[in-house]
Amino acid sequence: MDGKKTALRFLKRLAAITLLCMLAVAFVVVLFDPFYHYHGPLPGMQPVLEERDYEVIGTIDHFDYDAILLGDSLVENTNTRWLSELFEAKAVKAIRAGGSNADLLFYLDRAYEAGELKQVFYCIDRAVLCADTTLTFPENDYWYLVNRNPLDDWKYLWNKDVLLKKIPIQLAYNTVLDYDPGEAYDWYRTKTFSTESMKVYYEPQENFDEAQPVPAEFEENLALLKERISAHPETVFYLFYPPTSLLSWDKELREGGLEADLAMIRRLSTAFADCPNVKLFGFFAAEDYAATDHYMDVVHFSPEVNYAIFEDMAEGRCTLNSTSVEDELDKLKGMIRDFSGDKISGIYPEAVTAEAAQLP
Amino acid sequence: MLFNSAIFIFVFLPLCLAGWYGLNHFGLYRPALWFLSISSLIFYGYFHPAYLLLILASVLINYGVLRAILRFRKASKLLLALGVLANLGILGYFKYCDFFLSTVNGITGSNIPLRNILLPLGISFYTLQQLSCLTDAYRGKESDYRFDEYLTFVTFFPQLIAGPIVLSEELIPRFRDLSLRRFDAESFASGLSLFILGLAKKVLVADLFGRVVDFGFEKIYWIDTASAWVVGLCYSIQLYFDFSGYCDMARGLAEMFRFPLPENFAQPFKAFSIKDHWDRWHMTLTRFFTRYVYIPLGGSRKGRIRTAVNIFLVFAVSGLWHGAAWTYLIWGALQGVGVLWSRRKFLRLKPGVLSWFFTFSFIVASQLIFRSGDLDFMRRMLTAMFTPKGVHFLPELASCLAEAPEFYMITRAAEALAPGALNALYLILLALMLLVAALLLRGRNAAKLCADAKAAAYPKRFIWLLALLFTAVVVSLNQVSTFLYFNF
Repeated sequence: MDGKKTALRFLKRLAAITLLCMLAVAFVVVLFDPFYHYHGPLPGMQPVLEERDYEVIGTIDHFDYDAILLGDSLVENTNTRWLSELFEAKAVKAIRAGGSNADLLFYLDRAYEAGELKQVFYCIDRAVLCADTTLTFPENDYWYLVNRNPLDDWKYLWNKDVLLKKIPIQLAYNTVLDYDPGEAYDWYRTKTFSTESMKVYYEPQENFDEAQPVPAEFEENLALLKERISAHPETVFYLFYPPTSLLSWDKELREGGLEADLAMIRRLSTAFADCPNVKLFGFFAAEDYAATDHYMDVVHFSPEVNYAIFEDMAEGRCTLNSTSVEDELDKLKGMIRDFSGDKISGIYPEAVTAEAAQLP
Repeated sequence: MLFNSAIFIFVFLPLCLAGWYGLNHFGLYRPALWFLSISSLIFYGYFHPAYLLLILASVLINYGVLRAILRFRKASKLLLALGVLANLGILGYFKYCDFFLSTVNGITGSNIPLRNILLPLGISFYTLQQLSCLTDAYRGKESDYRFDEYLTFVTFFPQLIAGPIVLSEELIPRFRDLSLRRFDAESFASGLSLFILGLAKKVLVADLFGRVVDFGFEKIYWIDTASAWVVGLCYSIQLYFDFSGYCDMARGLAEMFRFPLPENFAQPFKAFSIKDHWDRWHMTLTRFFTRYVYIPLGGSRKGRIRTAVNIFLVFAVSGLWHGAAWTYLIWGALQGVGVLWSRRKFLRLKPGVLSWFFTFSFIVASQLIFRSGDLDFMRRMLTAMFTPKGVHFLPELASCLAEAPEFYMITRAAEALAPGALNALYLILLALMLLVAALLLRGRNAAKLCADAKAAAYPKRFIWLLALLFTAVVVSLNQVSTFLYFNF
């Protein structure tokens, strides 16, 4: 009987102390909330944003902002401080590397649920616009942060990485280490931007494939984007087709994607003509930005290019519309003819150069 | 379903316990047994529902043969032979088919395509368990079991995936003892304590050492002598804490249902000889092979040479049972040689530091063969271990700890404040890990800790220890990893 009593007392105490320990851990996580799932940064603390997929949604839900930068890894190195200087925008970044228009629009919808937006900066590159129109968030990884189901929050509240890595690093960046929250999720520090470094990522194929049609998703994605733009006439949408490297254009030419790219840009130039709250920009034909020494691989350019394009947008350069588009496309075709028909041999001596018949 | 998963700890286990004791409380003893076996099948099928078909087929075939042996005593030898063939046939097809085909391809130069058969979890364990049951029935032991009893015996979830290998005589009589069907706080307290300690061994210790081992094998082309031995040491520690942790959890869970399972480990790294080691390591496997292979082969009754051959054969078979690869066979054969060595008086060292050291080194080196997976990896690891190649890789090996959450802040701080001292820090962390593991291995094992705590009326420090360990485990659940012994 004594043994039974002792065992019951042990079980009760064990349950109580375990509950206490678990609640203590949960309290610490809720308090510091490194993924900003419950609240924004604590008073006196600056945000620490290092884990893009885990932190973007919390940033959108709980930060104080009036503008949002949407895009993939191409705009990840943008410092939100620049948007403040150039557009007087208090912006947050909503980046989805390799993501899709659907994911970015999901972020945009959440931002509107959180409050009003004065400006939206949206990088509409080829990958974003041709992506599948369904969400790509993985259900098993960090979905518990994205959905609004409190029942799966335990994955966050009792999480070893959150407790032993994210909270201490948040405290360290707020006390002893330097940190610029505007540079959230940047990746450029460990990369080299030069022709030499980018050329290892690309090998021009010898043959030139047949021209591909414009993917069906393009029109669907345009429609989805336009739906949001029309629903929010109070917001100014800065839509921009980002700089594209000469190697990337060469790749498109060889793989048969160039004609579709040109058609998409042409379509883009008229798609938002009836939306007075859209400012459309195209950096695809800017020779300076296409130069190979600005890139670390075929598509990713340096933060200097990021700054320059926002400066251009602020000053109204590189706008794209139905009247300017043909000139811009002619410039682009000239650049491609010049590069793929001749200059590419300077980078790849073995490469087969494009003949007049293949050039745009 | 993994024991170290939230779905198991917070959903499956409470529901299963509640269902079991609830049904028994209302006198529904047979439905309770069905409930337990169906729950166990859900636990098993959660990994891969298709496995259920195989385990059910295996249970039906074996139960059929068991009934036939009991009914047709005169043909029992033939029936047993058929049963053994059926079991070995199923195991052979699912586990050894590709190994056999690739060996044939290697020898003859042919190119027979491999089947790429997915190994069903726990098949090696439930096959042995059922073989023991058939053999016991043939030998005339009490084996007249109802189907629900037999099904629950085979599928009882605590021991289903990775043992301990339980005999029917240990479990089924307890199913029949209705006085054990009532909730008992003492059993539950003991079981829960053991379960938590086992969880902590797996999640907090084994997985941390696993980082070093995985990194060492990833970088096998650069590994040097010191690093190879450190990887070996870490793997032995990982394997022990992983498997014995699993067994502690299994025993703890079974205890919560008032069905004690046999002990599987008795501080194996304290052994003074290889034979001694095998008396302490995976004891229920040793018991199975002794009873059902070694003794039927003649045991030690047919002269020295035959005894030596029998021992060697048993360990070689045990090696192959662990996995379908040459490395397992070599590992098993080496264990056989080690056991034979320790049986010879003139070769045997007296128990002491020297004999412990040689035994431990032998275990560490041979377990690396076990981990190697293929002959090329084995050759590279053994070459690194036994040819002087220096220590230059050791800091890089230790640097894999930098990303471990446990050490993350220390290493990030050192990176910022004293980057020149990082390598030294990594080595210190690795040395500390090994020291802590050594202390844990020297101390009392989990079962003894629980027994002592129970005898001392569960002192407060034990309750705090369990609560903190359980919290640490739950916090670690996002890094669920697979148990090493599942694929054997």
